[in-house]
Amino acid sequence: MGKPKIALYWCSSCGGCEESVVDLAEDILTVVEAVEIVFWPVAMDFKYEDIAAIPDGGIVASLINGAIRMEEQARIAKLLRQKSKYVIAHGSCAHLGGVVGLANFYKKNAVLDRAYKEVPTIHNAQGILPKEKTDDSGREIELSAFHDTVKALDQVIDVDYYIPGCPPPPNLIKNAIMSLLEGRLPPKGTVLAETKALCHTCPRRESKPDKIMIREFKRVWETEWDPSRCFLDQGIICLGPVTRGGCGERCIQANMPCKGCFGALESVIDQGAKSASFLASIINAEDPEEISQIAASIPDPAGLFYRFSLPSSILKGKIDKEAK
Amino acid sequence: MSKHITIDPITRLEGHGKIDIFLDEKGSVERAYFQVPEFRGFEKFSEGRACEEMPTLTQKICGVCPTAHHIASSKTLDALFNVNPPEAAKKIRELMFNAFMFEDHMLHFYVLGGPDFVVGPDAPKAERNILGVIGKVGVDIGKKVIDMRNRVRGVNATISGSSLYPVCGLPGGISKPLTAEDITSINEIIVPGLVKVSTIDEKGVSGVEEYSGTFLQQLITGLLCPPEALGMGKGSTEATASVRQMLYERMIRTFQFRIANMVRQEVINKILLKNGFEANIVKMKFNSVTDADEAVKAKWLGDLLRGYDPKRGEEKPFTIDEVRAMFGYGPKETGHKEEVPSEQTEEPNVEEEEENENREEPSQPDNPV
Repeated sequence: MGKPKIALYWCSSCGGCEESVVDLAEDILTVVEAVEIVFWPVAMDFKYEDIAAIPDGGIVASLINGAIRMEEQARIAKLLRQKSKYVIAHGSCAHLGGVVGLANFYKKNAVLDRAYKEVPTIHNAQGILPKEKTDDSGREIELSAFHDTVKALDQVIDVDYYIPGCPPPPNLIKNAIMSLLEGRLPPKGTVLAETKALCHTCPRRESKPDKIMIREFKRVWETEWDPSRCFLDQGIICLGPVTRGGCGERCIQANMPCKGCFGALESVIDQGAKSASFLASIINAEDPEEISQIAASIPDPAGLFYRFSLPSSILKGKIDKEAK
Repeated sequence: MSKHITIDPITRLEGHGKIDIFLDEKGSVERAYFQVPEFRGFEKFSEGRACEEMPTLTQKICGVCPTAHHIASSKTLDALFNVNPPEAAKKIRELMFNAFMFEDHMLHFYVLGGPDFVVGPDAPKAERNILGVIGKVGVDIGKKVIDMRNRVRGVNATISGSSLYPVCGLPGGISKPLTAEDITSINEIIVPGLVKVSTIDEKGVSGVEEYSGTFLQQLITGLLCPPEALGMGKGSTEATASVRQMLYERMIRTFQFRIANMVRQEVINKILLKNGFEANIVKMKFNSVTDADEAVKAKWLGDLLRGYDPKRGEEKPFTIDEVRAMFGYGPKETGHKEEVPSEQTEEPNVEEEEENENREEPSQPDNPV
């Protein structure tokens, strides 16, 4: 019997999750000693036909990153599900829909038109959009269909575990693979990171007041903040209290607030709603008008609270009333 | 009968791709199509977001080159707010970008493009990858390369929070200054002794400018990459850099030739013969570089050579005129008629004199295995 097989695939993604695997650095040698990588388009030359040739269940684990927006991504995700014992959603996009899920604020056609017809750097006088089938003088080529909305991986296939983060820290990836190989399996559906909020490990936690009271939300360019004090105490929105920990406090180390890439805590269904309710709870005012004035100082609240999780939220995106 | 070849997915690069090649009745390539079966729509969903979110949002366009997007967006914010960042912030951004360039080239050489050169285009597909490269050059060199890249990623983590996705860009500067400890740790990571990042004041970070120049030059000549891994034979000092550079160029040309031949023989001819056509009727050729490219390269090589300390060289480095001659150019008219540096040559002319005492060997493998 050969080494256990692992596959890595990317869907609607940036390649950062792949880089975070490369960033395992010397640990990648430990990993490849233990496993055989059978598919990894960013780094290896295997093709789709090679995956199709593997018997069902022949792959121990597939780490799939990226959200699902194209038909091809859904097809390969389903194929890998069929071939794999375990599927791990790797990174924010597969886990929650990710940054690319922000596209769900717009209709499919608006997204396509903007990029292919309207941006100042494009010249497309005939207004051509990508087509699923193109016939160029008898030569037929096919292009994967572009879905109406972005979906998280578990909205398309069954997912066993989640590695959160944009990008996921390499140590979480290593731990996930090793615990699978060693049979230390957590319950299905586990997010393989901390269970506590980021605040618990924040280097600035000492300066976090017991009760945060905010009279005005400040944008990062509106204020000079003290790099040793809690962001929230200084009026800058930090999602640390409602975001899962385990990221290594990377943004805080760079003196920037948390934006929530690890997703919400265990029991929370909707990260954006939770973030909004948390911020509402720290507004220090009684008068409804004053409260809405303070809340209005948050630019683009939907984009901020759902930055990484719009497709997996309750609303899933902007409701298209005309279509319904 | 025409023939349709599909390559799906294309691999070892960031992004999705698919290639369709159509051959005509004679077996020549009639038309080839490259498609990207991936679309996310940053053009649309960046609209409506807060402007200060752009550096951390647009970098998700590409996880392999996020720093480039981050810096571009940060500069756009500078322009939007009509502010000019302080020198120190500009230099720190530059330092971050250079460190990124370095690790990105290492990534390309060893993980993405390199396997074609080191393992070879004829190797089985299971070997044409980083693991094959490590198999070829040995685990020790592999580890050295991995370690070097990882340490340079550490420079970016020190500056920008995350080694992968920087988060420090703001309109008018960056969110985090470099502390004295940061500078120490960066100096431990970058080429020790060659250039030191020394102080930060209102004028900026001193040392960084030289750093960025030499750092990239070092990188491109592969001085930090073990020569065997580059397939450049023996030689481990700066003095042999130009020789290696030339060998590298030659090697790339050879590989281009081999790839062209292989595609012709292995792919095109097979299809042709099967369909009853004469072999070798299809030719493939890579574009060669222009004279202007060669001139830039000659100048760059000359600059490179003058930038290194010949005292450490085992072989005599070339003068700029010799380098120019190699590329078919006459002697440079003014200023640069250097003597051939010998083992006894005094200080190199581009470095600060007082810096020289502290200089040590650059961290390249001295005696490659």
